[in-house]
Amino acid sequence: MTLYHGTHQTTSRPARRSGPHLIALVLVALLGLLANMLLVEAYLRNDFAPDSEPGQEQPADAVPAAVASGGPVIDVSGTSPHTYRMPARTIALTFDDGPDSRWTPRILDVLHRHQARGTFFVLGSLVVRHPELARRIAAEGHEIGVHTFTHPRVAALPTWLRGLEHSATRGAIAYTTGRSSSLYRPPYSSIADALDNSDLPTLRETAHQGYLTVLNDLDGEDWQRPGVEAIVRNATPAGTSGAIVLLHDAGGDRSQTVAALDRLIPRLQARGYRFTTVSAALAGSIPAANPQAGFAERSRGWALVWMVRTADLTLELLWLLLFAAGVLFLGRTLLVVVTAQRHARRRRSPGWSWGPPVSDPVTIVVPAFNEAKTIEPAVRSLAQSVHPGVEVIVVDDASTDGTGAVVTGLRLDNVRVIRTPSGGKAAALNTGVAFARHDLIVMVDADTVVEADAIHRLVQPFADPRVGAVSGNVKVGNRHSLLGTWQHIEYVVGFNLDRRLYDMLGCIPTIPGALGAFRRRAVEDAGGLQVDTLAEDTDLTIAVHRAGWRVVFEETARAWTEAPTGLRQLWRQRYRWSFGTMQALWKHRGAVIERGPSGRFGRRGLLLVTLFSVLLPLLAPLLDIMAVYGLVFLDRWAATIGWLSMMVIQAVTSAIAFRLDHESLRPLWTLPLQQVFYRQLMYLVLLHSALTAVAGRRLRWQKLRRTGEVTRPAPVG
Amino acid sequence: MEREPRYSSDPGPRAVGRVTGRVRLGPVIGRVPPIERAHTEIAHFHELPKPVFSDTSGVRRRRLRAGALTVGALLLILLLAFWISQLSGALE
Repeated sequence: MTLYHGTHQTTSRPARRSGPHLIALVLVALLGLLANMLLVEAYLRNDFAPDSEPGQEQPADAVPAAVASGGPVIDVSGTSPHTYRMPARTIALTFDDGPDSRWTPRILDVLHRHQARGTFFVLGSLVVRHPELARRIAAEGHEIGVHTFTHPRVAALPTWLRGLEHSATRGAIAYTTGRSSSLYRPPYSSIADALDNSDLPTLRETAHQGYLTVLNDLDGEDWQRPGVEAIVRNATPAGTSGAIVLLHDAGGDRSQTVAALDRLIPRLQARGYRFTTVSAALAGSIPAANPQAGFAERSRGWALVWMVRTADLTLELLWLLLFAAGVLFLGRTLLVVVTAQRHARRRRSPGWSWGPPVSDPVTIVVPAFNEAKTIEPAVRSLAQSVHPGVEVIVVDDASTDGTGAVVTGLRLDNVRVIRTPSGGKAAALNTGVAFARHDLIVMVDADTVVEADAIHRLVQPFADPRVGAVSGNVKVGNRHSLLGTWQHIEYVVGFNLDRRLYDMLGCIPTIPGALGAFRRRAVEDAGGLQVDTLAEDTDLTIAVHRAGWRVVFEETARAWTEAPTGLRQLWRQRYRWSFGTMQALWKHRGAVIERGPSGRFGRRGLLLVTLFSVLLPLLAPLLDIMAVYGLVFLDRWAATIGWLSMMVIQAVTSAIAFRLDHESLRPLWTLPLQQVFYRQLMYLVLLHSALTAVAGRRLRWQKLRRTGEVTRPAPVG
Repeated sequence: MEREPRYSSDPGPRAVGRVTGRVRLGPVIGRVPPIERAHTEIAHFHELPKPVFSDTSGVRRRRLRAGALTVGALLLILLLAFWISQLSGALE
């Protein structure tokens, strides 16, 4: 056993502190990318309202008469507007809102069967998702026009966003089909006579961008699903006049549209009509609708398609991880609540006993470094324990604030002070163990006050000769502030649910440094306290398990400890805890594949701790991120109900823990706030620790500021 | 000058060469070499185990930093290029 390392220090070149900057950069890059992906997805999944949605009435006095009374193909790029009509006995079937994986292929089949051509005004977001359909449309001789990227009311958009909607769709068409597009149909459009003043800016902008705006003569009104014959009737022109007919290949059930086409085309063909595309019908008057796309358009489309695909993948991954986090969260909650209650029932049963009473003398080791403010009540409470034969050893680890003198000044007969050169907590504990006169050793932090019978209760499990270590029940003594209350909730839940679960499964991973008891032999078998992790308590506990000893929890042995009072102090403490826990888990990872007690603990304890204490907390931020995302961009009710359900589960779980510990439920009113602020802080601490571990930075002990607020045990209940 | 016998009945040690002090080592009596020629070594305690995850050479940290910087910068550049390409198309 390594007992004491004195002042020996490993010499290493002081490394340049680049950690925080690196972490900040990585965080900014990751958050920026994540935000970008989520925003792209949110934009793509914006509520799709089909063309049938009614718009608001607007004045139309500024619409040029030539446009309002002209044909459905409009060109306002010149000084005077030009409009075009279909020639006689010519039908241009136009399909909006696609491509759709179900209906577009069927419509293409019907057109192919009747050797008819159509013009498809596509949404860019759907072209990205169904590029094969866009390619098929182009390959079968149909025309593709732009119907915006996400089907917004374009008149309500700012100019730059309108431009983005159009250019992005054009880019998507260019990348998937290799063709550009000069036809544009605004969403929610109708006949030329229905244009109003709000449509004019879009009309001019698109003309400036090289588009011809294509409205319609006849609306099949298939979006109303009026029946096949009604659609045919609506789409049939009077006499021999030509027409641009509006139909839809997406946005709902289009079976009537498919059936109507199958009747309409042969009927009109029989009357001498031809079915062609818009630009083919107006050949000679307007340019070809789909010329070869240029490099810039195709590149823009390539970037867009890959961005959307990456965003899709990112969101799918996030949903998958969220599902995993949800399963872990619910599974853990169920397991913890059921098992903890069974544990409590077992302990409260009349027949429960550890065995014959243990009254063997006990040595209490208190490592102390600059604890002058807190050491007096701590040592007094220990020295006055009701257990017979208590010896207290305070190991003063080179304090500079007179900690040793404070203890000496107490003049307590059963208290010894050992002053050592600076060596750290583990070394101080090892020194205390070496100087201990007795075989039962209790380790207590210098800021912790114990109840009078806590030590006696703590050592009772040693009646079982297989028990090598016992964990006490540590509570927050300074719980007056909000931060203290949150930590109080965390301690109560941690000790009364998680610890009971681990106790039932025989794999308690940590005997808390604040209050824990060990057999000397167990400590020796474990190799003493090691200095290669910052969580020497977790490290020692795991080593005790691996040496074949039982580790148990005695919930009636209570101690009050001083919790950090400021955010900086709390961050330091939790940073050390989580980093130390990761160190200990990694150090003992070999236990997973070992045989005997070590393997049993490894396969059960280490995996459970890794799942519930590392993986779940790392995934848990997704619950909040996706809740906010859903609240803003997706189904608000679903997101709210989901998040509130999680909150209710947390509240019920916490209430059970408080009941098991006979604590007042009053602090639980701060739970919603704790979920919003405190939990996020813990996520960041965990992330910081994980990055520190990966970067290989050496984290040292950081002394917390003490206030000495914990002076006496608070009354129970 | 007559050479003194190596061992004499005189129980006290005799100095040889430069006198640096005298010692009495129980029943062993003899000449003591100067202290600077004595065989000495530093007492070795247990070596401290290396902290888990610690990379004292800093190689891992430097590689990670370089990798993070490269990947982060590349991703940010790609992101910027994407938005420039889309917005330039929109403003054409």
